[in-house]
Formats: sequence, structure tokens, C-alpha cells
Amino acid sequence: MRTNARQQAAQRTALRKATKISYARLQHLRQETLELDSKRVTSGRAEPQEILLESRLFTDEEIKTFKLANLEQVLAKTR
Amino acid sequence: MTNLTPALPSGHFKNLLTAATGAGLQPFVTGEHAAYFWARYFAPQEPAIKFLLPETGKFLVLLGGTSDLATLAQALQAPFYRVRPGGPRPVLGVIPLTASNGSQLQVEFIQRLPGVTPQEIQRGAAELTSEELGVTMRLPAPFTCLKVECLEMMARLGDTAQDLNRLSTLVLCNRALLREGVKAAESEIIAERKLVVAMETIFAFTQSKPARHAAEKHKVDWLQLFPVVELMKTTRARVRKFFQKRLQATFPSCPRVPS
Repeated sequence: MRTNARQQAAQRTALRKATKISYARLQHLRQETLELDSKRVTSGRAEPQEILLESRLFTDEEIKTFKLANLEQVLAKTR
Repeated sequence: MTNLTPALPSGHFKNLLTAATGAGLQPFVTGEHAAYFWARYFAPQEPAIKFLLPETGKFLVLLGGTSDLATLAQALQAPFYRVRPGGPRPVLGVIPLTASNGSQLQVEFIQRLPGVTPQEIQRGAAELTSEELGVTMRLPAPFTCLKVECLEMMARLGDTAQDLNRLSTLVLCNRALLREGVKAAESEIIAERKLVVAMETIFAFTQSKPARHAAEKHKVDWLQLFPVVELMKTTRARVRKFFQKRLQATFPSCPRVPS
């Protein structure tokens, strides 16, 4: 990743200013996300299928457009 | 949290990864999303995968450091939290996001994966590119995913059907990758020696304590990791020797071919 000095300085500031949370708070955030989706389904605002699709990185068709660029390296570095 | 989170257009994770690629990052996708991606990637070669597809959730786990976290948050114009050390998983930080349809998702950054050194995972990472989507990302190799999954299963008290599903999927993904390796070695696109070294490593894993335990407990047949049909037919001497000396000699269910 190439960033110039200005970006690096901005990053450092952002990291310094970022709120620090505990692992328990992180778990709580995860729980909130799951609960929100349950509510969306029970209130009819979303279908379960929609939630599943939202949870995926790409559709099947999109995945077919990816190419593995370094098969030899992946095999050679198998440890 | 709501007042902090920016809206993402629909397409959610895809747009997020496109933004990451645009910011010069090669996001390193791990966990259930990596397993799911490999499953869909190799599904055309391994039809049984469609019956085993692992589930994914709203938490995208990326491997990376604090600068990656800050760069992605900057690209998404999203605030982020840093997570204090001390939890059961080495999570560095999290970017909570709200999509335009109101759904929430999270990007979590972790420092390492259990049982694999950072060097090991970085060197053996698979690079996947879609020019159409403008996304370049990295994933742990299918074998790394399998090892991590196996170790995590061993560490947990109870295994869920989902764990076993993911493990079985990864077994088939590894077989598909090795099949590509056999084809590439036969057409001399890759060195035969490198393929044999990879298969030897995977074979050694099948004989390890965690792998034997998983095989016993869950009736996992590790021979399924290898593309037996292609190995039986291959004309490459070293690959053939591996098949005979390792697989035929170790797995009673391995088909016999004359030496």
C-alpha cells in the first residue's frame, strides 16, 4: 500500500482519535446486527433470502469472474 | 452506533471490497467468507459442494494491521473503533456500517489466525482478481483454511453441523485446487516438484494428531483431499510415485493401480 506522508499523518491521527472498545462491546455490536436482521424479517421489511444475499461477498455469477493469479505460489508455499 | 455509520449503497460487501481495492488495499478475507468464496469458486469442479455450502454472516473478517484498518475506514469515509486486547480473538478494530436499506454489517480486522504463523499465511495467500468487478483480494489458501478450521473445531467443546459442513466443503476445495495443480503440472505450467511438495505437506497433515482426531470423531476421510482419479491417470513420474507410496500405502480405500 502506497500512501503519501499526508495520508499517513491523517491515518495516525484517526487511529489516535478512534474510540477504544472492549471485546465485550464488540460482541454487543455483533449481537445488535443480528437482532436488527431478525427484526427486519419479523416485521416483513426483509425476506430471509434477502438477509442471506446481503451476507455474501459476491453473487455466484460474480465469483465466476475471479481468476486465481498465483496457483504455483499457493502450491509451493503450502505449509 | 447509528450516528457514526455511513450508508453504503446496495451490493454491500462487494462495494466495500471495490472501495478497498481503489484505495490500494488488497483485502485479506478470512473466516467464513473465505470458506464460502472458495466453495463457490470451486463448485463447478466439485458438484457435491452445492449441498454443503457454508453460511456467511454480516461480519467480514479481514486480516491486517492498524494501517489497513485506517486506510479502509478512510476510503469508506467511515469512523471505526479500535478493540482493546484481551478478547479470545485478536481483533484490532471494527468498522460498523449501515447500508442504504437499513441493514448493518461490520468489517473486523484481526492480526493472526490460530495455528498459522503470519509469514506462512502471507506467503501462501491466494490472489484473486476480477477485472470486471475491479476487485483484487487475497484469501488464505484452501489448505490454510482447512488447517485453521480443523484446529478451531478441536478447540471447541461441541461441534455444530455448520462446522462440519465447512470442513467438508474445504476438503473438496483442496481437492479441486490440487486437481488444477495436477493439470498444470501435466501441461508444464507449474513445476511438478512444487505440486509434489504441496501434496506431501497435505499428506503429512492428514497424519497429524488434530487431523487423525477429526477423522476419528467426524468420520472424515482424508483421502478425499486428493484428486485420486487424476493421480491414477497421471503420467508424471513424481506425482505417480506420491500416489503409490503415500496414498495407496496409507489409505485402504485408495484404489489400486499397477506399479
